Amino acid sequence: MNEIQQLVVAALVVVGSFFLLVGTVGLLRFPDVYNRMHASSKAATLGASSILLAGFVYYGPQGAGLTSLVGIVFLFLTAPTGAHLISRSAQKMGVPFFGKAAEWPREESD
Amino acid sequence: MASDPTLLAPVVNAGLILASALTLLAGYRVIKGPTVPDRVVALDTIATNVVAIAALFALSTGEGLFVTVSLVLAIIGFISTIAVSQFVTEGDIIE
Amino acid sequence: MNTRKWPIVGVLLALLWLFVRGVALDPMAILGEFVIGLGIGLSIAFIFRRFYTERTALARNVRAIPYATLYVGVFLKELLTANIDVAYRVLAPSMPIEPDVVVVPLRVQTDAAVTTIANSITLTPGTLTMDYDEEANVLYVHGITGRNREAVVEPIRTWEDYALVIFDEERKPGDPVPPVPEAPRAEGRADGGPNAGDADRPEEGGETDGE
Repeated sequence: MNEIQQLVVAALVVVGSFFLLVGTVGLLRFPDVYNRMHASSKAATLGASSILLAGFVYYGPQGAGLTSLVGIVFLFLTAPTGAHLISRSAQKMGVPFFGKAAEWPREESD
Repeated sequence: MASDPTLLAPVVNAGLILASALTLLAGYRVIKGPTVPDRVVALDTIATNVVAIAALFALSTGEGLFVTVSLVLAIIGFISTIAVSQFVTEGDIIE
Repeated sequence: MNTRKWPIVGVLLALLWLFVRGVALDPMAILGEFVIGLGIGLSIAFIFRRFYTERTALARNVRAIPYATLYVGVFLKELLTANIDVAYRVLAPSMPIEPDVVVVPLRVQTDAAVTTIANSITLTPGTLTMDYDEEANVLYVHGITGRNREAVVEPIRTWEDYALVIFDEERKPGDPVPPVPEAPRAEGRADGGPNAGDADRPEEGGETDGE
């Protein structure tokens, strides 16, 4: 493994760890479940994808490198689906929004 | 192919320690709540963090199989998130 | 020109198999794994062929690939800049967030296009699709800066322009955006065309945001 490849892997790992940190700090700091979802489901997903991308650079375009690419695509496909479901269930359970201005725009018709 | 000890190993190890600490911290949100969706979001974050830990472990040991492990963990995390949030709203997973 | 869809899905599954198996860069190994992948992928695609539409216009899909690439490019750029923005919001001591729910009327109508748009919105930090109203064809988007409605809607319109082409929609990219149908509080301003026709719609409810 040459010098540049190593540097790229290290940089991607650092970036990924940073976004994992952002995701978890957001999860702990933000005031309500909807805002927490912003931090966790996206920043954390980007962090994990960045680390998997580091795996792709590390292994090259063969073997486990290809599997990491599949992992990135899978994370990006599934993270929004999970977030939709959680936010919908939170809203249906009547978890209140943070802030006086924020509210559900329309009454549920059912 | 063991990882080159010069630069990569300390960075990857630091990343591993950070990710593990973050997983523990997210556990605080699981316990504290206050609502069920909060806990589900926290569990989802833990799942994502564990995926990252598995990928980092693959880098640290140079063992490509752990990338597959992280992929499987991602799948399990996704399914469990879907199942739990479905269960919370509908009271049932498959009607 | 329509072709059956399940063989295409099968070949795509075989490609996925190659990636998951992580083949070595050796023609014989790739070929062998691809044959195994075809065997598994085609049978799975055939068994589950009721889950997707039976036929697809292959030539049109191939023509849409450049636009899809553009879409991914625009999306990635948005993803990175917005992620840094959210990182700032999370880490800043004062935590500058103004969450609100925004009603976004859509021009795209097919299921695939709406799903793509909704997932893109969710993945871009700062916005999160909460629900989709099928009758009104609007998305409910929770924005971390939701009180600035323009900032939430603006990138969505860019993706929508591409999605209109990719999924072969009725409307064209230049078309005006439909107004928000009888929404109580989002004032339904269309950021696009001249004849969006929402100037005289009555506004009820308290918070008027974005104007």
